[in-house]
Formats: sequence, C-alpha cells, structure tokens
Amino acid sequence: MTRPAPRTAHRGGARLAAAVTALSSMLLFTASGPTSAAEEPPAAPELARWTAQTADSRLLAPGVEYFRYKETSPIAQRAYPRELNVVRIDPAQGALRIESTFGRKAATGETVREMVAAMPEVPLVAVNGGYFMNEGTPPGTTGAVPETVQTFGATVRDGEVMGASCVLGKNRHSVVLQYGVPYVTLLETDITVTSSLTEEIPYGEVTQRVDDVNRNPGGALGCPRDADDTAGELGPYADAYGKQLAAYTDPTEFVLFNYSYRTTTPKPDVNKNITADDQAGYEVVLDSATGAIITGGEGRGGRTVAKGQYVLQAIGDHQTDWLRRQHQKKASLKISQRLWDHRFKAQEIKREMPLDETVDVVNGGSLLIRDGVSKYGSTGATGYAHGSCARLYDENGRSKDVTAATPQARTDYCRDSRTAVGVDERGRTLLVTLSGPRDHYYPDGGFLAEVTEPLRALGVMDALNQDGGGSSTMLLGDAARPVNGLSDDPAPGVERRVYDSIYVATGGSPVVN
Amino acid sequence: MGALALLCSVLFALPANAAYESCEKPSLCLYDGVGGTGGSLRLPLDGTATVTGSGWDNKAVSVYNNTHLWGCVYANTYLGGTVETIPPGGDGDLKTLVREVTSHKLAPSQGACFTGYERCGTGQLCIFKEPNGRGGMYGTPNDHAGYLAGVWVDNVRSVMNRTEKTACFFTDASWSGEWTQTGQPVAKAYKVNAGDTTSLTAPFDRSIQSHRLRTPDADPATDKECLS
Repeated sequence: MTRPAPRTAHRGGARLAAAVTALSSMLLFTASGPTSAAEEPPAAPELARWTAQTADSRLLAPGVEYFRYKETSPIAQRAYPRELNVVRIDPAQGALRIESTFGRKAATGETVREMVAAMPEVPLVAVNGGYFMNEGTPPGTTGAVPETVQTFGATVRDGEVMGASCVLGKNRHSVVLQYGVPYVTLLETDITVTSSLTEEIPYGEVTQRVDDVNRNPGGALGCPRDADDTAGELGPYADAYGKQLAAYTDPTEFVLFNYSYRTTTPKPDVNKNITADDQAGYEVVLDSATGAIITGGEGRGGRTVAKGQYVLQAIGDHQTDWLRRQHQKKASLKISQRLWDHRFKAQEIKREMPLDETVDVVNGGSLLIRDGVSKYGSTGATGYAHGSCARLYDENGRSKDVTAATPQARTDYCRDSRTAVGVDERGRTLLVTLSGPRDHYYPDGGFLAEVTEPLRALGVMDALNQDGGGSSTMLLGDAARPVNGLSDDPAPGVERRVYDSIYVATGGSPVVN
Repeated sequence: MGALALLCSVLFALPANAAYESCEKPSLCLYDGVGGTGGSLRLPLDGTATVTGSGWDNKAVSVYNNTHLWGCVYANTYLGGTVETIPPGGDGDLKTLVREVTSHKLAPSQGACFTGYERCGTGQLCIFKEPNGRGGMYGTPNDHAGYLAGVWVDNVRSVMNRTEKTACFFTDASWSGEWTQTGQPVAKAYKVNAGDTTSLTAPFDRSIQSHRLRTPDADPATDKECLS
C-alpha cells in the first residue's frame, strides 16, 4: 500500500496492547495524574441534560476513553433523543499520536471510513475534519471522474501546505496537531514563488504571491483567500449535493500543486459558472528541491505531479506572461511556504510556526471556547446566543429560511450535526460529535451553544467547531457503523465524502519479525 | 552520549515589595510571600532567566503572570512533575506548588503547559524522562549504541522523532535484546516513524538502552529497516 507520506505509515508488527473541573480561581491546578491506565470501563462524567450510556463507555486503549450520552429530555419536536459522543485522549497515559489525513488523494473527497481503510494500521478513532467545497465537474468528464474538492482555511499535512488561509477577518480558525496537544488558533499561510533571475527580470518582479495550493485557479470557494478575491456571491453554481456555493473569484492567480494532489492538474473551466477559471493560462513543472523548471508551456491542466515536483499554474495576462518569461529565460523558481500564528492578534503579535514533518493543520470554523471562555454560552439579544445554523426549525417543526435578518426565537431549534475538537484543563484532547441517534438515520444536532455547554462541563479550555451537518462522522476503529447518527445528506445512511479527518492512532509500534 | 542541554539562568533578584510589584510587562514573576509580597524573581518573556539554578527552587508562594501567554510552573526541573497553570494576566497564591516550583515556561495555550515536545529541534531524535515530552530531554541526530547508565538507561518515557528517518529503539545496548509480553509476539525493536511523537507504555516504557536511525523501507509492508 502506498502512503502519501511516511509519517502515517505505521506498518507491520503487532499492535501495542489494546488495551473537573474547578475553574473558579485565577490559578488552575492540574496534576500529572496516575501513570497506568485502568482496565475497567471509565466512568462517564456527569453532564446536565445528558444521560450517560454507561454500557457503551469503554477504554479504547490506554489513554483513550469513549463516552456515549443520550439527551435526557428532548423537546417534543424531536423524533428521537440526540446523541453526544465523546472521545477523551490523554497523551501522557498511552502510546498515542493525534494527526490528520486526507486519505489517498488531496484532490478528491473520501469518507472517513475510506481514509481509515487506506491506513496500514486501523486508528483508534477518527472524525471528519476541515471545511471544504466540491469544485465542479470539468467539461468532457464523465461520472466516473470524481469531482475535485478544495479545502478552505489554513490546511497543512506533514509540513506541506495543502490549502491557503482565508483572509483573517473571517473568523475561520484552525487546529494545529503537532506536540501531542492540539492548538486552536488563527493562522495565515504565506506562499510565494521567487525567481533566480538577477537581470532582465520580467516586470521587475522577483517574487510573486501564490494564491493557493491544490485548487482550481480563479475559483476560490468558501472564503476569500486575499484582498484580490471578489466579495463572493451565491450560485448559480451548486455542488454535487445541490448546495449553493459562494465563489470568491480572482482572474489573476498563481496556484501551486504538490505530490499529494494525486489527480491531473485542472484544465480551464472546471466550474462552468465561474468565468475567472476559463483562461488557458500557463503551467510549469518544477523540481521541488532545486526550483528548476523541468517542463511547461502555454495552457494548463492534465499533468500529474510526480514525487519531488511541483506544478505551478498561472492565470491572468500579467501572471501568465511572468511565468512564460521565467520559463523562456530558464529561471529557477523557489517556492516558499510559511505559517503565521495570529492567536495574539489583539496584542498585534504574530509569530511564525516553522513547517516540518511534525506539523498537521486542520481548518475549522467558529472558535467555540478560548482560555476557558465559551464564545456561544451567553444569552444574546434574541434570548439565545446559538451561533450559525443551516437547518433551523420553528416550534412547529417547520424549516426556517436562514438569513442574517432572520429573527431567532427561543423556540427555534437547530438540527445541524456538529463535530468539535477541544483540549481540557489537563491537556487532554476531546473529539466530540453532537448528532441524531446512532441507530436511526435522522439528521439532528444543535446550536453551537449546545456544543460548548457540555464541553465546558468537561473542563475544555479551547475548542474549535469542525465541519458539520452531513459531514459529521465519528468512527471507532473500523466499526461497521459510525457511533453517531448520520445526516440524510447526501442520502440517508450514506457517509459523506469529506476533505480530511482527524484521527488517533498508536504512536509507535513493536517490530516483531 | 552528550549531556543534557543546560538552561542558562539569570536571576533578577529584586528587593521586598508590595503586592505584585516589580513585574515589568511581559514577565512571569514569582514571589516568596503570599499575595505577591516578599522577594521576587522576574522571568522575562524573551530572556534567559529560569527558576532552575536561580536560587528560587522550591521558594515561590505566589505568582503574577504579566504576559499575554499562559504561565506554566512545574514541581520538577525541565518541565517535569506536577503542573500548575496561570492564565494571561492572572495573579494569586499558588494552589498546589507552594514552595515546590522548580521550572517554568510560557505557552500560547493552557493545554501547551502539558507537553514539552516543542523543545525538540528540527532534525533531532529526542528522548524524554517523563511522558508527553516532559522532564529531562536529550536530542541527537545520531545513532547511540549504549545510553549513559544512571541517566538514560531504562529511563526513556516519551519520544519525538523530528528527523526524516525511522527511529528504532532497543531494550539492550548495541541495538539488541527482546521484549516479551504475555499474549504478544516477541518484539526485537520499537519504532517511531519520522515526524511522530509518543509516550511509551509497557513493556517499552523505561526499558530502552540504545537506538538507531534508519531510512524507511521502500516496501511499506515490512519492518525490516530496524533489524538490518
């Protein structure tokens, strides 16, 4: 089996053994805890409005606890009680690693189950990861050709940028998986291409900003990547599920493709409803180590990125001509990828996070909790500080049209499934889904406030909302069914293909042969 | 084997003061009296001052974190033992580590107080005396046929492999020995892939005496790189 990166290749060998919070003061006490994991099922922490399903609670491995809860008193409009599934990971108690994977190809979506199946070693738990958009089906392709996807929000795999950050004002945070304890923060990617030319430099421009990685040039979806992108308008393009997409087009872009893309580079007009991606443009193949231009030419698309190479596409007259002339002059083009942490933006502090093999970043949406303070836990002007909801219903169980102007009544309820990642006051990681019932394909979930409430009760200090709705999935090992209820999108009981997933696996492996 | 990197220590010894004074921003300050009184030790954000070696071991009673970061104080040297955390801007008497603080760091999140892996430099294989990258650390880009007795022999509890190779660990010196475990195959090595971090569990925990770095096998279905 070929792995996209050596980091995930825990191969061969036998699996190593299967095996609150008072925040009332300014000083927070936390102890290092016991050193041996209990063999008996862990006791599920008590949570208001939730009843622990104690028969389902279990230790997945030393340091990895699973708790399942059912809603104690659901409102009459809900057909079934909702479920809360919690996996708590203590990296000091077991041989564990927390990482992310896009599966076999960064260019196309896969179900969490498919991503798990592609790994040499079955992880202990996996949940869906970051936000993404389906890009459209290129002209002339058939249904057998999978639609490509693009992630939006800073995304990194094994130190390689997979997707550029959104502009910083969009409240799109990410989670860094690097030192055994996830770090939720606001990130900015900074990708450039620099020419080796020292004279007769085209346009006098040595360095160009690269707009994104592994996506359709001209057709940024989900969020603007920089100030050059348009403000974004819904449709008329819809993705494979009929969902209206907002496009933030820019007809003047450089986009980089790396080895992980594993699909031929995009040709013009991937998205029939976006004109910015119609241009022929220019494309070169680079040696990723030296920057030497191996080949290239007018037009773009249809190339496979080999290991040790990049492909760089340009659209827009200026960008196309700059790249063409670099090729003609036999320049070398150095690619630079940097990551900046803006967690302390309020203090006007930003710091660089060096990229290497140890760094995974999964994008997310709303920051749920920071430094122990819930962002959605207080009562707002409408009586319910809920956060966004794409599946809002009124007291009569009727779906409501959700716009920014839609009044939110206390009796409204939300059926968005949720996935969240958090870190508690002892440095333990929590992977959480709030969903409909496990045993019924009934789409359900809740407002963001309904996620932050149990997370805070579990002592979570920092938490991020991941992609949700039909994307919400939690798999324990290679279980036949996810532990959470799946949405009816794309179809009842069908797991959605997503961009990436966060998983927990054993951190080392015995060599037995 | 080389020695542990020793942290430089610079003591900012300040005279007795009123509550939480003499703590210029951005600094984490320790006081030997309750409520930020008594003598103090200022630990600046970008400086080299440390608790360890400053004469302030097991002395602090109260603390003021006059930074935008989380303050983390530890019962043992090199970020080891029990942890107590202080939020940005927080001050107060220590709850559990009264006169027990011997090391500290400033971290971007509260959770980061519970890991010490960030100390491992790029290109290094790092071993730690406590789980989750905490406690004493040794980092090297090289193979080691035998760990230093009394220091690292049977004393490794977590690992970060920040090299581009597979790290192979052995229970005896000279890359030899076997681990046996009831119901499990005999293990001749324990490997940690490039880019990975992990704490160790039985039988590998506190049971390593040598390591070597190997180029990963071309065939991902095998484990041969550690044994050849």
